[in-house]
Amino acid sequence: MHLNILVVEDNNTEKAARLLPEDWQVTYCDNSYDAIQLIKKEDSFQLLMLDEYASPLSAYQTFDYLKSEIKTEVPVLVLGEEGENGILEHYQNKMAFIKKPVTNSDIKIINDLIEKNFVPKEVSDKAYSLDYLNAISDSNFEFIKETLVIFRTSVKDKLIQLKEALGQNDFKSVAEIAHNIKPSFEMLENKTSVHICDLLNNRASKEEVPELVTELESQFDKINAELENDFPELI
Amino acid sequence: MKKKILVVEDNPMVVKSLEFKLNKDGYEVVVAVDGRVALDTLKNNNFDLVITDLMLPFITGSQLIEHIKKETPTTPIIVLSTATQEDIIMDAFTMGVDDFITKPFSPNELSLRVKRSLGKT
Repeated sequence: MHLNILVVEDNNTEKAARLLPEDWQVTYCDNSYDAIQLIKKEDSFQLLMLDEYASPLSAYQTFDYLKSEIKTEVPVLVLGEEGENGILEHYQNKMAFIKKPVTNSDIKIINDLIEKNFVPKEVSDKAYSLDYLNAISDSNFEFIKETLVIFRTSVKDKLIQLKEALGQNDFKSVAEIAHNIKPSFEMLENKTSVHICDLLNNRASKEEVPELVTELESQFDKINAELENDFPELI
Repeated sequence: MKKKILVVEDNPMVVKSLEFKLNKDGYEVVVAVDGRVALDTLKNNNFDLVITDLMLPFITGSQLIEHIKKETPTTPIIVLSTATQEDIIMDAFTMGVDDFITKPFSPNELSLRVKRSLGKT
């Protein structure tokens, strides 16, 4: 397998890149901003390797930026000082962590990361996922239950405010409310709602807003119905 | 003694997650749900770190950062925001914040960044 790897160069990433198979093509750049520009220009990299505290954007910020702004999900290998080696499930298996300095035995993690991203992911038709809340809390069920209750009540209230603002043609408030509730949908990994919140916050025209609000409400109802089915004790 | 962190955030799910994770990491957490409450809280308490959203009701995150930089310039600040645009990130750093985390935060990243910012105090 010939792979094209982009490396934000420093001492450690350079040493790690030397351990990669010889037939992999390695491109170096000076900082995470340049890496973003290169990926923007040519979306042909199968892996981005950088230090967790890369500058000006950290590895995690670079990953978020690539995903949200460039709409690309190139797998990211993070080299860091503290943490457990392995693929980070919270990042949908698109990110792996290796403690510095990288040794030959760590190359397996790089292979696993690449392999996972060449295998099509199982498609779920669920309106929500608890992966993020599980990752935050080490699967603490009390925390998850309490957070789901907060989701149901707080987002419901905000949707009422959103409709009131829309009724008054107060589009500034519509945008602010959408911005406020976006992380709630992100935490339950409902991508449609996250996208709608982005549109309402940034790009939607006044004519598009009513339909988007209706769709957001419908997504919320769908999540709620599934939550009530999966966790009857929440009702 | 536990390090004391002020969290300024208006999304209750994010607050809940931050409180859970930071408490688990051994910190004392005080929450302010908007900029006004944050200013009141800062009047009567000292904090080792402030974690704040940028878009807040009443007083914006930027105004809050300016206030903290004026009153207690050594208090480290981490900005927590959904914003990922380069200009917003750069503006935050220009104002003197120590670090920037995008929502929803990664638990490992939060732990590392908080530890690093507190190490500076």
